[in-house]
Amino acid sequence: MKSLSEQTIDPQELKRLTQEAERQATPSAGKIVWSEFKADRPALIALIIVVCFIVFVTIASFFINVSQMMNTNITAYLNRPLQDGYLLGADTGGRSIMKQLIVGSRNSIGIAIGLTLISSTWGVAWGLISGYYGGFVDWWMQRIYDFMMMLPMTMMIIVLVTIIHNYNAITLTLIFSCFYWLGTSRLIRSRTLAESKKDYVAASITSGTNSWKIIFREIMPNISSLIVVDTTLSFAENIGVETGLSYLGFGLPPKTPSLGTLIANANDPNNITQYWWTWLPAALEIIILCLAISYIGQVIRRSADASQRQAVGK
Amino acid sequence: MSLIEVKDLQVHFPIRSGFWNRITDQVKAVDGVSFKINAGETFGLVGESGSGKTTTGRAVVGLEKATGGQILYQGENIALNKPKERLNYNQNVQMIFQDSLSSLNPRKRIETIIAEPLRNFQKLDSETEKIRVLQLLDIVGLGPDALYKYPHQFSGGQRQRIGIARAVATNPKLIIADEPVSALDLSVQAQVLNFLKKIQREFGVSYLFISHDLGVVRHMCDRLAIMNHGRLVEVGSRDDIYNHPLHIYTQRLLEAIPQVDVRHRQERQQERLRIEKIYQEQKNDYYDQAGMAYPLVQVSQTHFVALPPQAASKRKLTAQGVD
Repeated sequence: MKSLSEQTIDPQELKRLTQEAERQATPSAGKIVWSEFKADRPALIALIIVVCFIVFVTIASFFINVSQMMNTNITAYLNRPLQDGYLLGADTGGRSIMKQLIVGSRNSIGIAIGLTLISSTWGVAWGLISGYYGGFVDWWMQRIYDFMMMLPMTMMIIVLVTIIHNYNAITLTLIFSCFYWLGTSRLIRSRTLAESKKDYVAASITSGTNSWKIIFREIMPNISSLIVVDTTLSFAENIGVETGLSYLGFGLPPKTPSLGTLIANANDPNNITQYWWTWLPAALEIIILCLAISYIGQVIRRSADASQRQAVGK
Repeated sequence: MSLIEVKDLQVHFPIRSGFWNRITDQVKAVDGVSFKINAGETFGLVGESGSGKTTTGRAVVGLEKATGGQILYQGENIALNKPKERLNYNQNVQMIFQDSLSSLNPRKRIETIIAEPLRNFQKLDSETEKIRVLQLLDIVGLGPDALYKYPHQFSGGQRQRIGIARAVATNPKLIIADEPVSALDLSVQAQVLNFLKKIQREFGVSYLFISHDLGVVRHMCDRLAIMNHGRLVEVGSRDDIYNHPLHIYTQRLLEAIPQVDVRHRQERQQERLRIEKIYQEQKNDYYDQAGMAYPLVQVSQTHFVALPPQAASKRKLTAQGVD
């Protein structure tokens, strides 16, 4: 064995190497995604729309007094758009559609983000652990999955919402999260099964790394692209979850506006034909948002898979 | 006392089938394998694809659960299901993998990859650790500029050398080399093998060298075992196996080594056909009804062969007579 002094290289050399390595290293995931967005014009526009919209509704809703806004105002009964200063008109209670749309969007998107975060985190962890350990652990975790899958999801949520008397956006998000991690967990499990058979996992085991570290520090970074894509696409889906339930009348409490309660105005044939402004803006908003998010999801999926990339160079 | 002793190792995989998914049969990947490896020697394990040599190696390092038998490290039985004991064991027994690309995590830099065993087994401060990693890279002939690169930026031979550097990081006593050069081209094979030999000379490490390449094994190993259908058919020194093969399978395997000798092409072919004929004729004697080899019989100080029962009893008699 050579002596240590012979081996030591001076710190300056090491610094130079570090800098050189950083230049040579593969471009970071963020850079790849950004160049992919630049190559795809519609997706870039979708990204701008989604980001601007979320920022706008979050900020604007701070300037709206919700309880005052939700008070009934007979004089403004079904005002047409642009009448009496109501930009998008008013509903049967004389409440401004525009203000409801802003606050409702914030509520719906907030729930969707919360739901996506909780259910994806839980689903990813569930799939990783189940797929890595295999054997009995996997068997039990998958039977629990099967049991949850068997439950009629919408009905269960409706029952839970009816049982809990005093619920708000946060409890609603938690109730949804109990049921929406299932798809993610199966997807992640299948990839983990394949990934944990690879030799680098075996090498980590013989190197004495413990199982948790192998799962979350070795395997998870290698399936991160799948996780990002799945999360983005389930976000678009999750906007629909709250909306659908509120439309049925089991979502947020009646005094809390949301995209679903606005669309629920379309329950009335009169509203559909004559008073279109009560429900159309919310419906359009959901369509545009979901389309835009799925465009963004496609770009992220493409940047995760080198063979599908459209951006030239880099 | 030998460094490691494998006693009657069995690795059986269950076959599940039917409506209740019950275990209906077993795949006997390794079925009663015993051998010893002494300190500082290279023990070769040779056999065709599917003979169970890789499974044996993985069981010895603890990646595969043995369904039967014992693994004695320096005379002590190793319970690989106890995490603490296993950690100590793996500090001394490491592995080099066949596929150099998949054995290195594609998301990690070389520094992190080589430092992984160091971080788990010897808690060094970051400066010492970096110096140690550089030292290890130097042992396998790579410069400091490899430190911050990713695995895909290297050639196959370089990657395999990185795998070797990781395996020797904790100064192990035994390294399981699972076909370390079979994925490399010939010139690079020689280079990697020479690094393995150099490491053995410098650190006195033992190898369990798993390969199907008889030329490579001849170059590397002091003693070797021939494996067939999950059992050993012949164990002996390099001279025993290459010059005095007794089992028909070994003879057939050795005859399959290609030789570039145009002048004697005809004779070589005749010889091969003769061996193959003997193999076909005596196959039923050398294997039992299930197609498994018989237990090993000692025929000389170093040489063990799985002879059929009649031949074995005769051998024993002569052996006793000699004594």
